[in-house]
Amino acid sequence: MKKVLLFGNPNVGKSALFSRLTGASVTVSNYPGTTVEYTKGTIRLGEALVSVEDVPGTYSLEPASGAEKVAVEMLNNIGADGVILLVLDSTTLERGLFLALQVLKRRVPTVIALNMSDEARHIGVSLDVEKLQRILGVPCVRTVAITGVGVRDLVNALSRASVSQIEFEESDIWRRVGEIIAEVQVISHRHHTLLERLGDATVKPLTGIPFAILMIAVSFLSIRYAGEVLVMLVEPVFERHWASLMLKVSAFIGDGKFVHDILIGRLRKEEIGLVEGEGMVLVKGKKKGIEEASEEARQGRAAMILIEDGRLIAKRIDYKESFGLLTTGLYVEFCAILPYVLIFFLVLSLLEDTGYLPRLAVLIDSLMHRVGLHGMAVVPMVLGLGCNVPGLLSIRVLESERERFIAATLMVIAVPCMAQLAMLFGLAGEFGLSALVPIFVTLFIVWTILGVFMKRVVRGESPEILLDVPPYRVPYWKALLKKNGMRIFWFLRSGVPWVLAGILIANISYTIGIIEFLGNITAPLITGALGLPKDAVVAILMGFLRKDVAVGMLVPFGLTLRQTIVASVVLTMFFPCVASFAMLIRELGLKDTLKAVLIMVVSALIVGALLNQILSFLY
Amino acid sequence: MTEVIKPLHRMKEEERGVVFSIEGGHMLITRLGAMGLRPGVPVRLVCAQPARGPVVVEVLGRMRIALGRGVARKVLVKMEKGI
Repeated sequence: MKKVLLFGNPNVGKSALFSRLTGASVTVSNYPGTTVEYTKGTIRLGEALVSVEDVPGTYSLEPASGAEKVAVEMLNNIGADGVILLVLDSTTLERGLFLALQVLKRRVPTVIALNMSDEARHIGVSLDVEKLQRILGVPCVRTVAITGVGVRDLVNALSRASVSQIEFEESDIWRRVGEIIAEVQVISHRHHTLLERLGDATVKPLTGIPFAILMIAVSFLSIRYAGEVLVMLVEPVFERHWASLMLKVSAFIGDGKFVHDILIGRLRKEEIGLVEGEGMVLVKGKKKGIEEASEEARQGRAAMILIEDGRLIAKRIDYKESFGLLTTGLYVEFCAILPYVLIFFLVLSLLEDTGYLPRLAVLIDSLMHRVGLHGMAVVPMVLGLGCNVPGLLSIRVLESERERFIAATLMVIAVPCMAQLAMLFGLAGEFGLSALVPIFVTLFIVWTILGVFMKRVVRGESPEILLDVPPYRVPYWKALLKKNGMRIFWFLRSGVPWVLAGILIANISYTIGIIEFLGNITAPLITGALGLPKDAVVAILMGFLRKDVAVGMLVPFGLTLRQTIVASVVLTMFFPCVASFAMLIRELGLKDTLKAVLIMVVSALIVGALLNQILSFLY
Repeated sequence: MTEVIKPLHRMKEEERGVVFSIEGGHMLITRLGAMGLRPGVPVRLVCAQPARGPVVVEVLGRMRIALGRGVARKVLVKMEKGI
């Protein structure tokens, strides 16, 4: 045995099992289509190392979406040494057996995991595993992948994997499934559980739509405000401890040196007062002791106090303006963004793991049809709000090329990622909701108009929604924490280098005067049409590298409310960051990416100029 | 008691019945069947979304499937109606 292929219907727990078997990190949620590409891991069986492959779920061997195609191709290429680990949902065995019988007919050594066996017992479905084993002729093992029950037995069973001898006519498959079900499954009569009632209530329009609005509002507000609370917890660490360390580093390197500019950036100098005689200083007309005046100037924040030319000076690190790698670079990533991202991931995983997302997909389906998509497109859009990169990957849950193009284009143009949103919260901070509301309303209008436009001009078909709505499940906290840890790690690993690179490039281009030059040649557009300061061009260009750094570069300009709104909208719409751009090319191909870019450039300029005009009437 | 056959999207909320036939091509029949919706299985209409949105149907008392109206009209359901 060289290879184990996890195969089964969508949302039966293949990825949960994969992660239990291999210890590898994969995303597990409660909706069909979490896994859209395959992941490899290894497992030790006795002496041998065997490769295990997690495969997207499929309902049958006739693929209906990109992700299903991946699954069926992997089954076709399993090779002579491969073993199929067929994962079935014990609560819906009928459905699983339909796929199982087709797979068993491939005559490849197979082991069956009867997953979610705890839930099956709970809802009154009991299975005779011995009998099922005899009928199918392959080992069957009860498992609860998410908690690890039965996984050891399953691993032992892998070495007993056998080729099924089951015979049936293709046209007769349902009768055969029915016979097997009658033999092995007993269902005790039961009433609907509380979770089932809740599940139905949140998908029925009358109760479900208000609930959805509530959910979205609560999610948004908790990210906004819980994020802010976290920022307030992290900020003192930066303002006191890290700043005082950085000031020591600054003194060691020497202010004004090139290395200092790169690592620490510009320090902010504040004049506290004039030195007058012995240890005394004149502050705003009052005489004070130097010690007392210095302490007042510090106010709990680190500062280097020194005397220059008869003046008492405080040198500070202003994280928003210094643009050094160790100052602004780390501050942006860990203090400005990470707190919001952390809460976003937590909220997202609750939505995913409970099984709410498919219900939201059903409720939002007719709206999505207006823009040529169907309800399931809510999944990429919500993931895209975290980061466009995994968002773009998940457009594979959509069946047609047309839907994938529309969804990807809408996402890169009108769905800001959490890193950018967090910085926008900071940038729009002093204006509060009077800046944030127009920004979001504009983006939503752009999303809708572009969607309606693309629905008209993009050729191809958009199939209707056909979606399994899983029951609500109580998230298993260990799995939930693991997923969050994994996502945070991924976010930092892929984010930190880009943020640092962005800060570095911004810093160098300030130093060598590129910004001055670019500002002058683009002034008619940036200042004329968009009403922004001419140096803002560099922020818009920086947006191509990394959106959060780009927003950060706008902070020192002291923008007006109108400029803040225009700049935020244009920055969101104009060019995705380089990581999402690479993903866009990978998922759409070069030709469609160019089309998306064309739509993006044109719409960003039109919307920016129009918004500037409209707002100058209002304010 | 009389028997009435009507398409899924015409059912009212909470109405129950048994799938009678699926008026579609091989692909659709296989696809729906693989998801658990095939002739002979008992169904209950959970809800129909407004503005010609999808319907959600409970299958075999355990599974729930959301289908667009276009597909739902192809699923014929047999219901027993008291007069």
